[in-house]
Amino acid sequence: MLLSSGGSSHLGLTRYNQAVPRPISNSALARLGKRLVATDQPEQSDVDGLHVLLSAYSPVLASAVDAVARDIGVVSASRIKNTGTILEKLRRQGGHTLSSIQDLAGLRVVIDAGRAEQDRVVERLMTTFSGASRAPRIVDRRAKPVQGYRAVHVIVYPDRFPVEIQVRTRWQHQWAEWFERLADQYGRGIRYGEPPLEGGDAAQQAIDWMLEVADQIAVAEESGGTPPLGFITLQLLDSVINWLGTRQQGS
Amino acid sequence: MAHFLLIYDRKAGKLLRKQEFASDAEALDARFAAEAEYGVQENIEIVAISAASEDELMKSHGRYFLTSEQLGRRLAAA
Repeated sequence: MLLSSGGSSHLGLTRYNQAVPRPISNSALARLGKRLVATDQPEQSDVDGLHVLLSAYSPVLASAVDAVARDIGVVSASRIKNTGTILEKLRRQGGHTLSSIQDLAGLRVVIDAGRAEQDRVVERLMTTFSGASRAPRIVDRRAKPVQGYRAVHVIVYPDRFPVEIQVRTRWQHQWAEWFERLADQYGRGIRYGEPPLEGGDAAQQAIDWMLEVADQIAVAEESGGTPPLGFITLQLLDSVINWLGTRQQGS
Repeated sequence: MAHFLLIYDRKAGKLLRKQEFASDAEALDARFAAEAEYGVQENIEIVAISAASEDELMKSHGRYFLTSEQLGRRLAAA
Protein backbone atom coordinates (compact mmCIF):
# COMPACT_ATOMS: atom_id res chain seq x y z
CA MET A 1 0.00 0.00 0.00
CA LEU A 2 2.96 2.25 -0.40
CA LEU A 3 1.60 4.88 -2.77
CA SER A 4 4.72 6.83 -3.52
CA SER A 5 7.99 7.82 -1.98
CA GLY A 6 6.34 11.14 -1.13
CA GLY A 7 7.90 14.36 0.02
CA SER A 8 9.87 14.68 3.20
CA SER A 9 8.63 18.09 4.26
CA HIS A 10 8.62 18.47 7.99
CA LEU A 11 5.35 18.26 9.84
CA GLY A 12 3.69 21.60 10.51
CA LEU A 13 4.08 21.34 14.23
CA THR A 14 2.21 24.45 15.21
CA ARG A 15 -0.91 22.34 15.14
CA TYR A 16 0.75 19.69 17.28
CA ASN A 17 1.93 22.12 19.90
CA GLN A 18 -1.60 23.19 20.69
CA ALA A 19 -2.05 21.07 23.75
CA VAL A 20 -5.21 19.03 23.91
CA PRO A 21 -5.58 18.17 27.58
CA ARG A 22 -6.54 14.65 28.47
CA PRO A 23 -10.12 14.91 29.75
CA ILE A 24 -9.42 12.77 32.83
CA SER A 25 -6.47 12.94 35.22
CA ASN A 26 -4.07 10.00 35.50
CA SER A 27 -5.30 9.09 38.99
CA ALA A 28 -8.92 9.20 37.82
CA LEU A 29 -7.91 7.07 34.84
CA ALA A 30 -6.31 4.52 37.14
CA ARG A 31 -9.51 4.32 39.21
CA LEU A 32 -11.63 4.07 36.07
CA GLY A 33 -9.44 1.23 34.77
CA LYS A 34 -9.90 -0.73 37.98
CA ARG A 35 -13.66 -0.23 38.01
CA LEU A 36 -13.97 -1.24 34.35
CA VAL A 37 -12.57 -4.70 35.05
CA ALA A 38 -13.97 -5.21 38.55
CA THR A 39 -16.98 -7.06 37.10
CA ASP A 40 -17.79 -8.87 33.84
CA GLN A 41 -20.25 -6.14 32.86
CA PRO A 42 -18.88 -2.68 33.71
CA GLU A 43 -21.24 0.08 34.82
CA GLN A 44 -22.52 2.18 31.93
CA SER A 45 -21.23 5.33 33.65
CA ASP A 46 -17.70 3.87 33.55
CA VAL A 47 -18.07 2.85 29.91
CA ASP A 48 -19.22 6.43 29.25
CA GLY A 49 -16.08 7.68 31.02
CA LEU A 50 -13.95 5.51 28.76
CA HIS A 51 -15.80 6.88 25.73
CA VAL A 52 -15.01 10.45 26.80
CA LEU A 53 -11.33 9.53 26.91
CA LEU A 54 -11.43 7.74 23.56
CA SER A 55 -13.28 10.62 21.90
CA ALA A 56 -10.44 12.95 22.91
CA TYR A 57 -8.02 10.73 20.99
CA SER A 58 -10.06 10.87 17.80
CA PRO A 59 -8.95 14.27 16.39
CA VAL A 60 -5.35 13.56 17.40
CA LEU A 61 -5.46 10.30 15.49
CA ALA A 62 -7.00 12.00 12.45
CA SER A 63 -4.24 14.61 12.32
CA ALA A 64 -1.58 11.89 12.68
CA VAL A 65 -3.15 10.06 9.71
CA ASP A 66 -2.99 13.29 7.69
CA ALA A 67 0.66 13.85 8.64
CA VAL A 68 1.62 10.31 7.67
CA ALA A 69 -0.12 10.60 4.29
CA ARG A 70 1.24 14.06 3.56
CA ASP A 71 4.82 13.76 4.78
CA ILE A 72 5.57 10.12 4.09
CA GLY A 73 3.24 9.36 1.21
CA VAL A 74 1.81 6.15 2.60
CA VAL A 75 -1.80 5.29 3.23
CA SER A 76 -2.82 3.87 6.53
CA ALA A 77 -5.82 2.44 8.27
CA SER A 78 -6.60 3.86 11.68
CA ARG A 79 -8.72 3.00 14.65
CA ILE A 80 -9.41 3.86 18.26
CA LYS A 81 -8.89 0.65 20.23
CA ASN A 82 -12.12 -1.28 20.74
CA THR A 83 -13.58 -1.47 24.23
CA GLY A 84 -13.46 -5.26 24.51
CA THR A 85 -9.74 -5.34 23.72
CA ILE A 86 -9.05 -2.48 26.15
CA LEU A 87 -10.76 -4.45 28.92
CA GLU A 88 -8.86 -7.60 27.91
CA LYS A 89 -5.59 -5.68 28.13
CA LEU A 90 -6.51 -4.16 31.50
CA ARG A 91 -7.36 -7.59 32.90
CA ARG A 92 -4.06 -8.95 31.66
CA GLN A 93 -2.20 -6.07 33.31
CA GLY A 94 -4.10 -5.91 36.57
CA GLY A 95 -6.69 -3.26 35.75
CA HIS A 96 -4.64 -0.21 36.65
CA THR A 97 -2.80 0.76 33.51
CA LEU A 98 -5.42 2.59 31.44
CA SER A 99 -3.24 5.69 31.39
CA SER A 100 -0.24 3.75 30.15
CA ILE A 101 -1.82 1.86 27.24
CA GLN A 102 0.15 3.14 24.26
CA ASP A 103 -2.17 1.98 21.49
CA LEU A 104 -5.55 3.44 22.42
CA ALA A 105 -5.13 5.25 19.10
CA GLY A 106 -3.39 3.40 16.32
CA LEU A 107 -2.47 3.46 12.64
CA ARG A 108 -1.41 0.57 10.48
CA VAL A 109 0.87 0.98 7.48
CA VAL A 110 1.51 -2.05 5.26
CA ILE A 111 4.44 -1.80 2.89
CA ASP A 112 4.66 -3.73 -0.36
CA ALA A 113 8.38 -4.15 0.09
CA GLY A 114 10.95 -5.62 2.42
CA ARG A 115 12.74 -4.58 5.58
CA ALA A 116 14.90 -1.90 3.94
CA GLU A 117 11.79 0.06 2.93
CA GLN A 118 10.24 -0.66 6.34
CA ASP A 119 13.30 0.91 7.97
CA ARG A 120 13.04 3.93 5.66
CA VAL A 121 9.39 4.50 6.57
CA VAL A 122 10.21 4.20 10.27
CA GLU A 123 13.03 6.73 9.91
CA ARG A 124 10.72 9.19 8.18
CA LEU A 125 8.08 8.76 10.86
CA MET A 126 10.71 9.56 13.48
CA THR A 127 11.57 12.75 11.58
CA THR A 128 7.96 13.75 10.98
CA PHE A 129 7.02 13.52 14.64
CA SER A 130 10.35 14.61 16.13
CA GLY A 131 9.11 18.13 16.87
CA ALA A 132 6.16 17.01 18.97
CA SER A 133 6.01 17.54 22.72
CA ARG A 134 7.67 14.19 23.35
CA ALA A 135 10.17 12.34 21.15
CA PRO A 136 8.85 9.35 19.22
CA ARG A 137 9.88 5.89 20.33
CA ILE A 138 10.53 2.69 18.36
CA VAL A 139 9.42 -0.75 19.51
CA ASP A 140 11.12 -3.18 17.13
CA ARG A 141 9.16 -6.42 17.25
CA ARG A 142 11.46 -7.89 14.61
CA ALA A 143 14.24 -8.04 17.19
CA LYS A 144 11.89 -9.13 19.99
CA PRO A 145 8.94 -10.94 18.40
CA VAL A 146 5.94 -11.88 20.51
CA GLN A 147 4.72 -15.37 19.59
CA GLY A 148 5.83 -14.93 16.00
CA TYR A 149 4.47 -11.39 15.66
CA ARG A 150 6.97 -9.14 13.95
CA ALA A 151 6.60 -5.50 12.91
CA VAL A 152 8.04 -2.14 13.88
CA HIS A 153 5.85 0.04 16.08
CA VAL A 154 6.56 3.74 16.34
CA ILE A 155 4.92 5.48 19.28
CA VAL A 156 4.44 9.15 18.47
CA TYR A 157 3.07 11.88 20.72
CA PRO A 158 1.12 14.50 18.75
CA ASP A 159 -0.72 16.78 21.16
CA ARG A 160 0.88 14.80 24.03
CA PHE A 161 -1.33 11.78 23.32
CA PRO A 162 0.45 8.53 22.39
CA VAL A 163 -0.44 7.16 18.96
CA GLU A 164 0.97 3.81 17.91
CA ILE A 165 1.94 3.43 14.26
CA GLN A 166 2.39 -0.18 13.19
CA VAL A 167 4.70 -0.50 10.22
CA ARG A 168 4.52 -3.95 8.67
CA THR A 169 5.85 -5.59 5.53
CA ARG A 170 3.26 -7.48 3.54
CA TRP A 171 4.55 -10.84 4.82
CA GLN A 172 4.57 -9.68 8.44
CA HIS A 173 1.08 -8.24 8.05
CA GLN A 174 -0.53 -11.23 6.37
CA TRP A 175 1.01 -13.60 8.88
CA ALA A 176 -0.19 -11.40 11.79
CA GLU A 177 -3.73 -11.22 10.46
CA TRP A 178 -3.83 -14.96 9.99
CA PHE A 179 -2.56 -15.67 13.52
CA GLU A 180 -5.01 -13.15 14.99
CA ARG A 181 -7.83 -14.94 13.17
CA LEU A 182 -6.64 -18.26 14.60
CA ALA A 183 -6.63 -16.63 18.04
CA ASP A 184 -10.30 -15.73 17.54
CA GLN A 185 -11.02 -19.44 17.11
CA TYR A 186 -8.58 -21.06 19.52
CA GLY A 187 -8.29 -18.46 22.26
CA ARG A 188 -6.75 -15.00 22.33
CA GLY A 189 -4.15 -16.33 24.79
CA ILE A 190 -2.28 -18.15 22.00
CA ARG A 191 -0.88 -14.71 21.10
CA TYR A 192 0.95 -14.80 24.43
CA GLY A 193 2.05 -18.42 24.34
CA GLU A 194 -0.91 -19.92 26.18
CA PRO A 195 -2.22 -23.29 24.95
CA PRO A 196 -5.23 -23.34 22.58
CA LEU A 197 -8.64 -23.58 24.28
CA GLU A 198 -9.78 -26.28 21.87
CA GLY A 199 -8.39 -28.60 19.23
CA GLY A 200 -5.93 -30.29 21.60
CA ASP A 201 -2.51 -31.42 20.39
CA ALA A 202 -3.46 -30.98 16.73
CA ALA A 203 -4.26 -27.30 17.28
CA GLN A 204 -0.99 -26.83 19.18
CA GLN A 205 0.85 -28.51 16.31
CA ALA A 206 -0.77 -26.11 13.82
CA ILE A 207 0.23 -23.15 16.01
CA ASP A 208 3.80 -24.46 16.20
CA TRP A 209 3.86 -24.72 12.40
CA MET A 210 2.63 -21.14 12.15
CA LEU A 211 5.38 -19.95 14.47
CA GLU A 212 7.87 -21.81 12.27
CA VAL A 213 6.41 -20.05 9.22
CA ALA A 214 6.92 -16.71 11.00
CA ASP A 215 10.55 -17.62 11.73
CA GLN A 216 11.14 -18.66 8.11
CA ILE A 217 9.68 -15.37 6.88
CA ALA A 218 11.95 -13.48 9.27
CA VAL A 219 15.02 -15.35 8.01
CA ALA A 220 14.04 -14.56 4.41
CA GLU A 221 13.42 -10.88 5.19
CA GLU A 222 16.66 -10.54 7.14
CA SER A 223 18.55 -11.63 4.05
CA GLY A 224 16.72 -9.07 1.91
CA GLY A 225 14.06 -11.43 0.63
CA THR A 226 10.66 -10.31 -0.59
CA PRO A 227 7.67 -12.34 -1.84
CA PRO A 228 7.16 -15.05 -3.03
CA LEU A 229 7.75 -17.34 -0.08
CA GLY A 230 10.31 -20.13 -0.31
CA PHE A 231 9.45 -23.78 -0.88
CA ILE A 232 9.97 -24.97 2.71
CA THR A 233 7.84 -22.13 4.11
CA LEU A 234 5.09 -22.92 1.61
CA GLN A 235 5.16 -26.58 2.65
CA LEU A 236 4.70 -25.57 6.28
CA LEU A 237 1.93 -23.19 5.29
CA ASP A 238 0.21 -25.97 3.35
CA SER A 239 0.33 -28.17 6.45
CA VAL A 240 -1.60 -25.58 8.47
CA ILE A 241 -4.05 -24.83 5.65
CA ASN A 242 -4.74 -28.55 5.17
CA TRP A 243 -5.27 -28.97 8.89
CA LEU A 244 -7.72 -26.05 8.87
CA GLY A 245 -9.57 -27.71 5.97
CA THR A 246 -9.81 -30.92 7.95
CA ARG A 247 -11.20 -29.02 10.95
CA GLN A 248 -13.80 -27.33 8.75
CA GLN A 249 -14.96 -30.64 7.27
CA GLY A 250 -15.17 -32.16 10.74
CA SER A 251 -17.22 -29.30 12.19
CA MET B 1 -11.10 8.53 3.55
CA ALA B 2 -13.87 6.05 4.28
CA HIS B 3 -15.07 5.41 7.82
CA PHE B 4 -16.56 2.10 8.84
CA LEU B 5 -18.28 0.51 11.79
CA LEU B 6 -17.66 -3.23 11.94
CA ILE B 7 -19.34 -5.65 14.30
CA TYR B 8 -17.62 -9.00 14.23
CA ASP B 9 -18.30 -12.33 15.92
CA ARG B 10 -14.85 -13.68 16.74
CA LYS B 11 -15.84 -17.22 17.57
CA ALA B 12 -18.03 -17.67 14.48
CA GLY B 13 -15.59 -15.69 12.33
CA LYS B 14 -18.54 -13.78 10.94
CA LEU B 15 -18.96 -10.09 10.17
CA LEU B 16 -22.36 -9.16 11.61
CA ARG B 17 -22.49 -5.56 10.41
CA LYS B 18 -20.53 -3.23 8.15
CA GLN B 19 -21.72 0.33 7.89
CA GLU B 20 -20.02 3.31 6.27
CA PHE B 21 -20.09 6.86 7.64
CA ALA B 22 -19.18 10.28 6.34
CA SER B 23 -16.72 11.05 9.15
CA ASP B 24 -14.59 9.32 11.77
CA ALA B 25 -16.59 11.07 14.50
CA GLU B 26 -19.86 9.63 13.19
CA ALA B 27 -18.35 6.15 12.97
CA LEU B 28 -17.06 6.44 16.53
CA ASP B 29 -20.46 7.58 17.79
CA ALA B 30 -22.07 4.61 16.01
CA ARG B 31 -19.52 2.34 17.67
CA PHE B 32 -20.43 3.67 21.12
CA ALA B 33 -24.14 3.17 20.34
CA ALA B 34 -23.46 -0.39 19.18
CA GLU B 35 -21.57 -1.09 22.42
CA ALA B 36 -24.66 -0.02 24.34
CA GLU B 37 -26.73 -2.33 22.15
CA TYR B 38 -24.51 -5.42 22.49
CA GLY B 39 -22.92 -4.83 25.89
CA VAL B 40 -19.42 -6.10 26.56
CA GLN B 41 -19.13 -9.60 25.11
CA GLU B 42 -15.81 -11.38 24.81
CA ASN B 43 -16.62 -12.75 21.37
CA ILE B 44 -18.18 -9.65 19.85
CA GLU B 45 -15.73 -7.07 18.55
CA ILE B 46 -17.14 -3.62 17.77
CA VAL B 47 -14.70 -1.34 16.00
CA ALA B 48 -14.64 1.87 13.99
CA ILE B 49 -11.89 1.95 11.36
CA SER B 50 -10.90 4.63 8.86
CA ALA B 51 -9.21 3.60 5.61
CA ALA B 52 -8.57 5.05 2.18
CA SER B 53 -11.30 2.85 0.71
CA GLU B 54 -13.20 -0.36 1.35
CA ASP B 55 -10.57 -2.26 -0.69
CA GLU B 56 -7.82 -0.87 1.52
CA LEU B 57 -9.81 -1.81 4.61
CA MET B 58 -10.00 -5.40 3.37
CA LYS B 59 -6.24 -5.43 2.86
CA SER B 60 -5.39 -3.88 6.20
CA HIS B 61 -8.05 -5.71 8.24
CA GLY B 62 -8.75 -8.86 6.22
CA ARG B 63 -9.39 -10.81 9.42
CA TYR B 64 -12.91 -9.40 9.53
CA PHE B 65 -13.68 -10.52 5.99
CA LEU B 66 -11.77 -13.74 5.29
CA THR B 67 -11.79 -17.22 6.80
CA SER B 68 -8.65 -18.57 8.44
CA GLU B 69 -8.12 -20.79 5.41
CA GLN B 70 -8.45 -17.82 3.05
CA LEU B 71 -6.01 -15.81 5.17
CA GLY B 72 -3.54 -18.70 4.98
CA ARG B 73 -3.93 -18.91 1.20
CA ARG B 74 -3.49 -15.13 0.93
CA LEU B 75 -0.14 -15.44 2.70
CA ALA B 76 0.86 -18.41 0.55
CA ALA B 77 0.13 -16.33 -2.55
CA ALA B 78 2.03 -13.29 -1.29
